[in-house]
Amino acid sequence: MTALHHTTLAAAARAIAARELSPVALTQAYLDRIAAADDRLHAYVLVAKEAALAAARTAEAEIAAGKYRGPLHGIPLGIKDIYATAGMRTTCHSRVLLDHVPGEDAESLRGLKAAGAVVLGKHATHEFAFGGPSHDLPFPAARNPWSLEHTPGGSSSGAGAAVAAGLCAGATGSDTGGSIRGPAGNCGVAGIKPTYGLVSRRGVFPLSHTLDTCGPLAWTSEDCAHLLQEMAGFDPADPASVEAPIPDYASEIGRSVRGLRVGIVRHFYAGRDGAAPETVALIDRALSVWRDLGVSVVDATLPELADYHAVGRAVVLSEAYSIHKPHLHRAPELYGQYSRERLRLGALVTAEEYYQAQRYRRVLAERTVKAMDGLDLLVTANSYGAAERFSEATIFPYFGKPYLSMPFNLTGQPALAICCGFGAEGLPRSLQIVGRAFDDATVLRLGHAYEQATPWRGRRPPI
Amino acid sequence: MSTPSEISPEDFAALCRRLDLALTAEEAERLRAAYAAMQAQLRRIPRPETFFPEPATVYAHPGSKLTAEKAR
Repeated sequence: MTALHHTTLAAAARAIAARELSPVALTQAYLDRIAAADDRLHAYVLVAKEAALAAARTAEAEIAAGKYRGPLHGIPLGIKDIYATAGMRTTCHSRVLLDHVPGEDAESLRGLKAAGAVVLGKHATHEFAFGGPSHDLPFPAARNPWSLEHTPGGSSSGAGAAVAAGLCAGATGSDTGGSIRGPAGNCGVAGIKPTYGLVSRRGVFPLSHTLDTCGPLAWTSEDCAHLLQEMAGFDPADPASVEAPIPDYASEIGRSVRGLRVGIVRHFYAGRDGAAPETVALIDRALSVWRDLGVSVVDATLPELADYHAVGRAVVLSEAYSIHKPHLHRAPELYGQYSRERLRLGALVTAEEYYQAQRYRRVLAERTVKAMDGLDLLVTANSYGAAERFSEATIFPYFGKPYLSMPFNLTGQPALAICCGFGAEGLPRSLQIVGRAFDDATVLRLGHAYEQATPWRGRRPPI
Repeated sequence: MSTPSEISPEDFAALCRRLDLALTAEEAERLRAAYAAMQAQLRRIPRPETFFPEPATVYAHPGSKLTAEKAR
């Protein structure tokens, strides 16, 4: 029998709707799990036990009174600590904001709470979603529940670790160059970077205004669909927000994938200096699964991965430095070493280099969209291999293999990371499913179909 | 005159002073090495051949329907 803390969000929602599961019991199960495992995982920087139980009791009373709000009613979530939480400390995992208590919730969190979600607490992150995994911050770095010597990835590190280990039913993350998809992949969970503009960023601490995207992580694509439903929506106070129709994501994923046309972007990861053969083979097997479900798969060619990476790096470094410069110059000692040194690199990007990067970004976006002519989706690797060890982390990780996730931050397209198997050492591997702008529903549908057809969602980390 | 990727410690120190970056000697050496690597990376970005390509900005969705239609 599945432990309560390992029930999927969707299954828990069905049980709550049928009044077979108490939101208070579910919240208590996660709090017990946090108490039992988080001293090793460090996925949380703050656990709001009393507030969570109070919210769960309210949800339970509302449901008992016939005021059921929907699938997130009474569902316990963890919130990345760069999301503003009204009356709850929001530190960005940094000494710079150690005593910061916002007056209002981030807009996307407001949507989750309005749907009845319960906030368990705040998740660890790389400092300001940028500097990590660092060991000189006010809270320890989150660890990977599949192997504590390995990182969970970043920057939504606590979110990935907590979802995988059953320390919450779902989580919020943010993705500027892969910060949802990296931890999702390393921790073997699902995580979607929605279309840029779909989810409000208001109240979420910025890293790079033209790339930052907020989205969910959860055990399955279906769980992510439920979370995205309540996070998405037009926000006139967010200059990047787009007034787009919001489909019923959870209903959409139930549709057949037969007839979908997928382009596999092999040149990003296969070949010399690419992903390990084991990863390549697991993605090939995933393609076979989809073919068996009636999906047509053809090769697709995009611009060179290194071009996207170079453009993305110039943009992130410049914008992050611009955001942090006043604080960084006034009190550099309050930043961890990784943030401090990485941010300073942004000072060295000239205005001309930044502007040319943004110009070429548009060219790359147009070429990417054109490469999708006749295709519904793209698939490519999400990582080259297993999560790195803490001992392998470096201050400047930008000059090795190009980031597989960066292209779709630049183009703004939705991109979902899902687990596609495990390596010989027992760590998860992952792939990305990429859609057309605002077609997040089809992305989630292909992910859901794969998860339904494969055994990976039945395997949890040993912690 | 050295190219950016070969910037001397002295020139780099002057650049950092101009940018008001207060660095220890160790930090300066790490940053100088990272700067060289970054310059090499930035050289990948081609300069548009015309004056006209506009940048992607926060106010113009880079993957929008409009962009898709233009690409066709």
